[in-house]
Amino acid sequence: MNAFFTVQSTMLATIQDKGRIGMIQYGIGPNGAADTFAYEAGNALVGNMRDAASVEITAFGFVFIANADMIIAVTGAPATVIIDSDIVNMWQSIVIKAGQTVQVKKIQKGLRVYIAFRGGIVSEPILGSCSVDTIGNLGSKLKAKQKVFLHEPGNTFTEDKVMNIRDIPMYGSPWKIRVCDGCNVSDFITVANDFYQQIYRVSPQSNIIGIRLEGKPLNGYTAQEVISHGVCLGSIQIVPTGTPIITFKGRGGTAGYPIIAVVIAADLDAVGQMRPGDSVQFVRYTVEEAQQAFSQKKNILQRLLV
Amino acid sequence: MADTYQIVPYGDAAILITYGETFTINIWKTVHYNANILAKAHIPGVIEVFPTYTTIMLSFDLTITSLDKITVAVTDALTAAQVAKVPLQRKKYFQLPLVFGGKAGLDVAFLSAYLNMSPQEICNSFCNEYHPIFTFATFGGFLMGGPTFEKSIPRLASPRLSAPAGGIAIAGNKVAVMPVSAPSGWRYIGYSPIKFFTIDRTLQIPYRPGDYVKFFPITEEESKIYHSQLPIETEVET
Repeated sequence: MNAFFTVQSTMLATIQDKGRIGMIQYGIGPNGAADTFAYEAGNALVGNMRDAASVEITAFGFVFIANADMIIAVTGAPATVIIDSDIVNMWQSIVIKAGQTVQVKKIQKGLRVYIAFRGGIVSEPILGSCSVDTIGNLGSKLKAKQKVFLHEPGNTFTEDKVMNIRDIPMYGSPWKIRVCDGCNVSDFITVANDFYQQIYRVSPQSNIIGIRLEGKPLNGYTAQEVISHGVCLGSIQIVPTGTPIITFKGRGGTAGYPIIAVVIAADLDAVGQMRPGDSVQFVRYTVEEAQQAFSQKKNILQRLLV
Repeated sequence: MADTYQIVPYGDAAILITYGETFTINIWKTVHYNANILAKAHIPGVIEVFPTYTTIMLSFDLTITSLDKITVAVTDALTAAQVAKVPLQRKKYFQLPLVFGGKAGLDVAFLSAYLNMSPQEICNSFCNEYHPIFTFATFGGFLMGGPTFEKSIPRLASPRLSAPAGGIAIAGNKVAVMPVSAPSGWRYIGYSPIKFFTIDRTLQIPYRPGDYVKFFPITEEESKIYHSQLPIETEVET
């Protein structure tokens, strides 16, 4: 029988992979792990393919008992990780023995933590992914007493892997989010300074579909509504109240509000870690600078694989 | 000219190919035709190609391509398409049962007062002809043409947090069909009880932009017949 673990205690934890890629033209958002870098790093640390299914824990604690020997890695926002009664480090591979209890608690500075399991989690993909989609009602939260099975690993893995401390992202408020111009940027020329100077606050009415930001409304810009167009991931729409919403991975496709800027690909992971009440400031980047930032992150993950 | 487009920056990992800000049927047809061309061109690194009214959103994977490479590849593909001029896609006709009013008719009273029409007259307006599907919307839903009333229908000032699954709604002069329950600022007139599409390992949606939809009225009692049925395709003489 395959190795498995039993969930002891959970509030908001799900099984995620990289999501349903390339279906936005049907109104189906990708969803998937909100902090892609932490999720992929976890898989690399345990020798998995980068899109193996992992546990994503949001905000609250999570406890499981290993029913077999297994190798895990815990990544994401800083949290306390305890195996039986020993505190262990995140961002490294850890050997767990059958019968041991693993606790993740006190998630701080960010919102989400990932547990990668060597071999990956067995799941039933729908439209190519096991990720939760709250609009289409696909997937569900993990429940206490649920048994979660792991695949047999497909390759040999002999080394302990530890992330270089310089490569671990900085999590926490105030978030400086880098953006490039959006498709309606010309409508916002008179208010661009206000947008970039403002310190926004993350509203509690935020989720994987969109992060709502509170702050002084922008006014005097020239377009309240635009003809509906396809929204790209990370688009920052300015809604009629003059405040921004960052469209995120659960997005349904179209939008009719003007888009001032788009979060750069390298900073989407930070968006997936913002907590209600956190401060956010936007920083304007050129496309060249943004692509360089992305390359740096890509190189970090490549180094983990060798 | 309908074929004139601009490639507008959209962050570092996407572009918006725009044919203008004003909706015309010709521009819309060009948008969907060219989106099809781009999807079939299999440009390396392209992740999403999403045509709507007058624009195509195209996103790409920065681990294998760049904005410059994508811009060149897209321009080449669209130029080749202009030269080739192959006729446009199929047209299928579908009829959808509509339970007008009732528990999903959240805005029927508003519309009746706003348009000075009886609910029956409004229902008749929705059911009397085929309208084209313009674009997919939330979770396999779509936006289509609708009845032309004397006044354009305003959205809600504050969107509802949740509107009924299967809902049919109107805003401006467009109609939205929403298979799932979702937040919405549109005006709801009722719902369709059908199974819109099949979803398991793959997505099988019977309809797409360019097809036509006509509603026919049914009662809440009759709705049970339609729960497991997909949209009814009809033969139409053109």
